[in-house]
Amino acid sequence: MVDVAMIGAGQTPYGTHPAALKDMWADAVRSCFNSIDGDLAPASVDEVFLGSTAFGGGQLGNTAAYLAEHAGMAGVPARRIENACASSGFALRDGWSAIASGRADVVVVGGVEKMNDLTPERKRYWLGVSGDTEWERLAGLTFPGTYALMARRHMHEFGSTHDDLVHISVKNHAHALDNPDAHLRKEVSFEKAANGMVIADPLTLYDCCPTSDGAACIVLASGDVARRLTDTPVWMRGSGAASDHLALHDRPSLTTLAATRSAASQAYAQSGFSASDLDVVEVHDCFTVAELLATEDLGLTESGQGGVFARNGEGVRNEGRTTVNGSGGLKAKGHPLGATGAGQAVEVFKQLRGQAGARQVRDAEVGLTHNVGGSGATCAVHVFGRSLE
Amino acid sequence: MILDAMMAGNALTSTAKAVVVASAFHVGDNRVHAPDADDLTILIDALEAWRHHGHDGPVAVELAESERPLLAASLPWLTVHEGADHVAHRFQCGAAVTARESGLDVDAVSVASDLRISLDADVHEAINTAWSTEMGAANVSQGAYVSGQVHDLGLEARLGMLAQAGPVWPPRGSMNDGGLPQDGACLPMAARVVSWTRLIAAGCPSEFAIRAPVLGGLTSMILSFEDGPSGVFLYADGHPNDVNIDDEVRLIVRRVYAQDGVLRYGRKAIRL
Repeated sequence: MVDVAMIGAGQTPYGTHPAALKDMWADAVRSCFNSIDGDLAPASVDEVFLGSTAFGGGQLGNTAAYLAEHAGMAGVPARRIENACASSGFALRDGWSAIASGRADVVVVGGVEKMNDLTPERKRYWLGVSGDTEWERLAGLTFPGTYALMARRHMHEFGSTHDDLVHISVKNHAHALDNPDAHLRKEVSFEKAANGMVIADPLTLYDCCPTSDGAACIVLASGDVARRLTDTPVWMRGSGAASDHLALHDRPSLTTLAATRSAASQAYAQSGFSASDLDVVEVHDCFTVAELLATEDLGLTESGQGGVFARNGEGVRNEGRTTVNGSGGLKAKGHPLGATGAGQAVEVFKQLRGQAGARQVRDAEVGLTHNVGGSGATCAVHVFGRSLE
Repeated sequence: MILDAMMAGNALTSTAKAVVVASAFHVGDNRVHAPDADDLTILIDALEAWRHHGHDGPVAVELAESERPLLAASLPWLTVHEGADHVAHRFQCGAAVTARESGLDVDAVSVASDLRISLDADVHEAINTAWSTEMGAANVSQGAYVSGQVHDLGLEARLGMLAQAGPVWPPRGSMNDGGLPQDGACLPMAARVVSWTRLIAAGCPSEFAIRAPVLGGLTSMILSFEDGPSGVFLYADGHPNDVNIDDEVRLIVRRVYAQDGVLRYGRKAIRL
């Protein structure tokens, strides 16, 4: 299998953008190619793998061709990968696979989403389209509701509390203060987060991520090409992916995501690393309870102990063994659905190259991204290292 | 005739020859339907209560054409026969199943005062207006959508809780071995709360966006059936809905939402 490295990565700020979809994507591509040490033009890549849910239906068909054209890659084979919020996590896996298999030498992987240019009525129809429409959504559930069901069950089974979730919210908001690309750069006090407006009991506004516009882009290269173009590649050491029942009620447990466990197991086995080796992880905290579950499912703590992990501040940047969501995570950095997985990889790229500025994690050698689709129907986990050793 | 017991959210009385149910909801002294009930759902309630009280056999029921598939899917055990010894009656926000010559005076049916659930007149009107709006041609899905065809294909599972062998519910396209799904039995209409949440109006799916503000949000839950499968269900609108994990609830037929000008029904949970 061919070694694969990230040699460039860039993104737009996340938030509410005045720019159109194609312009955001073009900005992310420019930022990404500008980060490459050597000379590489977008038109020279072998393939484009673009994650997007095509939120709002603005360009549902042939999205990738449309966007490749607007970023100087007309003519390059391109396709859109759709796995809900895990779209670009799976795009990353597909790009990795193309190079690892020897089929391509250089590929562009990315994601983009435009969510805030819709009327509120139209936006609400598009939020939650990735659950089981017939048997979940039309029985009254949206994703805040789905994750609220998980949170309440976890509290019932393991004695976790809403205060544990508040710790996650406060931590991620604090982390985002140092991230110029974050959507919500504001400090949130424990008291404020603990007393937020209830959205789906027991989850409050401060347990929920925002809906963001944004784009993220990565260039992957084979080992030989990577060494020619940079002295500091970030190596993709492991790739794992899995799916699960679409509807939460079909799963044996509400307090673990089997897809996360399976994908992480694959990625750890391939990389030779374990959870205890991780310095930085970007996990899919669309809701605070999702981070709590992720810390358990990724092996950062034992099953049922996610609340204790959060309560003890073990994911706080440069304080615990592993920094969890040093970027601010989906909770505060933002969640432009299809761009989120690629954006996580952009953050790990910067962290492992020591280019994360004020939010730099000390001595970051090994990183992980965890990108979940919907309530856990799909999941992609990737492990990265500064070296191949 | 004063109905002095409660079952499945309705007031009820039962004799050897008749089961009579009526809505517990009142605006002042005027009996009205629950926010998600109508003449069809209370007829189904009456027939289920009739069976629950040990009755069996064919029943004569007058139905509109649009009601026939809904009643058949909801009550697969029921034989409807014009000349049956038992007859279903409908009256204002109530229904009864009686022996053919029962002499039931439907005008004399009333609900015991301590069982009545008071509904504010403005709220009642707002709910009815919301249903009308939801039924309107302008209420068109812009994202998530279940077509009428797909919805109707799931009627027996949705209303009758018909499961595939296993039991597997809701139905699948094929079994784990790739084979054709085999019909199983209907799940029981009682289940246990695995987890629940109360969504504010803004947190509800857009299909419920018109009514949810009037109702003050929705309560949704995962229920587990004795035989294994689980499902997501709303709590019946308008009833006290404080629930806890491990509570036992009953499933009743209620309006769920309207789309494409058609009311869509399903099972909702209510305390036993």
